[in-house]
Amino acid sequence: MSNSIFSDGSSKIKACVSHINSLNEIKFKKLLQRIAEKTGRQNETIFTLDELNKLESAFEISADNIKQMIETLEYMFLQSAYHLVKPQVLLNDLVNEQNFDENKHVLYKAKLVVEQWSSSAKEIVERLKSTHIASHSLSDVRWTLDVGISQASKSKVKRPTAIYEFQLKNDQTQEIEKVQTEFNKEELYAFFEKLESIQSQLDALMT
Amino acid sequence: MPDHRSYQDPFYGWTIPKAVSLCVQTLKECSSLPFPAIQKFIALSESQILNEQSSTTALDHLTKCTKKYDIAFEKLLIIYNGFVTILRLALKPPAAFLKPDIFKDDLRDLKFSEEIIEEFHNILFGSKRDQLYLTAQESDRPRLSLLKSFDWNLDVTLTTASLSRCVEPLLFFKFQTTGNRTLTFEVPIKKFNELRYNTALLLKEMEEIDGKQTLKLLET
Repeated sequence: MSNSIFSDGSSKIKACVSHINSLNEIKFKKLLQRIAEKTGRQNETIFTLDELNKLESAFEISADNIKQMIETLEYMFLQSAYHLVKPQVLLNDLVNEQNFDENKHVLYKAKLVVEQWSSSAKEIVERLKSTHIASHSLSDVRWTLDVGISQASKSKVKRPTAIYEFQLKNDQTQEIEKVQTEFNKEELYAFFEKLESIQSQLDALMT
Repeated sequence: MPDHRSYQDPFYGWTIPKAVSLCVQTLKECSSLPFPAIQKFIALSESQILNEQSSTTALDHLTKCTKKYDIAFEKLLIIYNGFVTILRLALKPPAAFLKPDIFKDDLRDLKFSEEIIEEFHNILFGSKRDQLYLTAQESDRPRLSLLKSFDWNLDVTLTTASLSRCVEPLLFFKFQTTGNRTLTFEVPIKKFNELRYNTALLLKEMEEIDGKQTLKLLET
């Protein structure tokens, strides 16, 4: 067991393997697809309560067992993503270490898992790469360009002003905080020069 | 040459502002106030406009003069206020609009003494002219919060709890605005690229403003 990718969770998996092995293949494949779509998303559960109940009747397994199975499968995907495993390695692991049924007919299950992994791996890894840890992140930037033409202290001016609205998303609450700032020409140039220096650093990183 | 009064309103508008007429009237009443003191008032009003002093300095000086020349504080206040108003009104039209002779004529019509007129002329057309106009345009208007400081961090994420090998750049901004807010937030690289593109676009649009036909009417 210590050679397995899933060395941390092998007890979890042991409990579910018998259930997994007894499932209908087509339904299993659909289940896998759905789980892979939602793996790694923050703040989202994979199946709603309603859907869980429907699955219960469809698979004829109790809701608790279904939940465990779903968690296990998700865990398998996440661990595979962590180690960036190759499909063949995953297949061997599932068959040899995790006791997915070996006979030709049901070997198919392990293969289904691996196939799903091969097709969704890129997407899952990308999703995991872009998860934020910081409390706030920039979700959108809006701007307008106005020209001031008159004010109390001067009857005639021609004053271009850029107004930025930075939308910051709070990752826990999904609330958006809007921050408005104003720039005149000089200030905007200074801001742009700072952005340029950041870009040159990014370029240096990439080479 | 037709008299400028026939084709042009005086610099202070088409009616004499109350602050100015009261000032002239009070000056006549306080004939005991020597000219150097008046000169000092005018100088003080100039620095008031340039925001170089707090209002208490001017008020302190006025209080001193009250005692020195035995004139009521309210009267001195009216005179001082009148001077500040004159300067504000003179700075209001575009810079090229205010011609020295016409300006002096307008002041004469208001019945200011020649010495005072000379003082005003020196201030408006003297060394601090550009600074005065700049302050009138930039400081005396409402503004949204400005970006006081902008710090940034560019890190590289090597591993995370969910990925053992992941080499991704990670960008953090720290904004400090004049509204006393400090905002620290992460910027996804995609959003940073959009921000940079939009800023460049804005700058280009700003440069092109001078060429737009409708805005040519605003040439000052």
